[in-house]
Amino acid sequence: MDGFVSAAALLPGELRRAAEALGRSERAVCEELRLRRGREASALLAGREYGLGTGPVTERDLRAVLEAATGASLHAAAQQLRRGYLSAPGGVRVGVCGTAVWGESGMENVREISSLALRVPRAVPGCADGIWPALTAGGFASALIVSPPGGGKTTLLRELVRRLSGGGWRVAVADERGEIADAWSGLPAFDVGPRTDVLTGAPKAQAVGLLLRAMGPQVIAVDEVGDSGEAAALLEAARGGVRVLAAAHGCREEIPAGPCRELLRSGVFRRLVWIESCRGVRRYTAEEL
Amino acid sequence: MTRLMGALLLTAAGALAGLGAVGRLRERAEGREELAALLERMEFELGRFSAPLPELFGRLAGQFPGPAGALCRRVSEGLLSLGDRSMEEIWGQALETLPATERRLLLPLGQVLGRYGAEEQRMALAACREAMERAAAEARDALRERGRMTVGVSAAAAGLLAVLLI
Repeated sequence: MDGFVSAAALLPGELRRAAEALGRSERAVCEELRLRRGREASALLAGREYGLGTGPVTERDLRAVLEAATGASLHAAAQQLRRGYLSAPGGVRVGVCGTAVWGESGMENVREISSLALRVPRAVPGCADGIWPALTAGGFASALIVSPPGGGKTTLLRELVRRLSGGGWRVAVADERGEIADAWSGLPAFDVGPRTDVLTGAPKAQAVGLLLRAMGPQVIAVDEVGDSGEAAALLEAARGGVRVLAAAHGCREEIPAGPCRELLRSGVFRRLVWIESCRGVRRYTAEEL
Repeated sequence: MTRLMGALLLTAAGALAGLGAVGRLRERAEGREELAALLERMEFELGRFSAPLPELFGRLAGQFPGPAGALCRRVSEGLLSLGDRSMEEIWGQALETLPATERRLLLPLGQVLGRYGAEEQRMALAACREAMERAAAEARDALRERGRMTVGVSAAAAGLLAVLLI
C-alpha cells in the first residue's frame, strides 16, 4: 500500500477525508500528517506545513488515531510509547506528544496526548543513483548516512539495501520500528531486495548480534544509531568483517555526536553520505573518509 | 377417559412450561458465569502478557462455547473494520445480542479496552467481572428459589384448569 494511504488510513472521519483530498502531486511530497489538539490538522509538504482545512482536532480524534495505529491495543505498544512513538501498519511512524509520566527507567507513559505526527513512509527507487558509483567504487564499504530528522535517511537506507541485495550481497536489516521493510506480517511491504533478511521489532543492539549469529550477513543495515549499545554491536559486526550500513541524525556542521562519532573515530565507516534539503529537493553526496 | 387424558396432557404441558422457564433461568445464570470467566481470562491475559486485542478475542472465541465465545467472535470480526469504526462502537455493537443486564454491565468497557495501559484495563475488567459475578450469583439464587416453585405452580395451575374444564 502507498505510504500516504497507509498514514491517512489511521485518521478518523473528517480528518481522513481532508487528507485524502490532497492532490496527487501533494501526496507525492507529503512527509508527515500532523495533529495538534485544538488546532487544524496539517500536512508537511516538502518541508513546509500546510493546514488541511479541518476543524480543531479533538482528544477523541487523537485517541482514534492511536487506536487504529495499535489495533486497539495501546497496552501492547507500551514499550514503544515509552520512546515517544508507535510503529503502525504500513511502516507509518506515529510520534506522540503529551504529558510524560516519568519513572526510574525513563518515560513510562504519555497521558493527555496533545499532538501526533504521522510520518509517511516512502520508497523512492532510484534515489541512490547519484551516489551509487561513489559508494561502490572499489567494492561496497561501510557507510553512514547523515541528515537532520525527516531528511530521508530511512528512504535512502531502504533503497541502498534493495540495490545491494539485488547486486548479490546478503543483507540483514535490524528493523526495530518496522520502518525500513515494514515486515510485521512476515513479508516486507517495501521492496528490500531478494537477498535481504529482516528482523523486526527487536532492539537494534540485540538485533545486530542475533542477525550476525543467525543469518551470516555480508552487510548489516540499521536506522538511527543512537546509543552506545548499538554502536558496540556495530563495532563488533565490523570487526567480524561485516559491512555496516547505518543512518544517524546530524548535519554537515554537526557530525553526529556520541556513539556515531565513536564509530567514525574507530574507523568502522569508510564513507559518509550527507542528505541535504533545499526547497523540498533532496541532495545526496557521498564522501570518502 | 378422553377427559382424563386431556387433563393429564394439560397438567404435563403446564409442568413443561414451568421447566422451560427454569431452563431459561439456568441459561441466564450459566451465561453470566461464562461472561465472568471470560472477563477473568482477559484480566489475566492483559495483565500478564499485554496480549493485543485482535489476537486475544480471536483466541478466546474458540474457548467459550456460549455467549462469551459469541461475543468474542463478534468483536473479532468487528475489529477488521477498526479505523472506520472505533473500538467503543465495535464493542457496543457486539453486545447487542446479549440480555439487557449483561449489556449494561459490559458496555462501559468499550471506553477502556485498547485505549489505556494494561493495568488500567485490568482494573476496569476486574470491576466489571465482580459485577458480573454478583449478577450470576443473583441468577443462581433465583434459579434455586424459584426453580422448583415455578415447575410446581405451572403444573398446579394447569391441573386446576383441567379440573375446571372437566
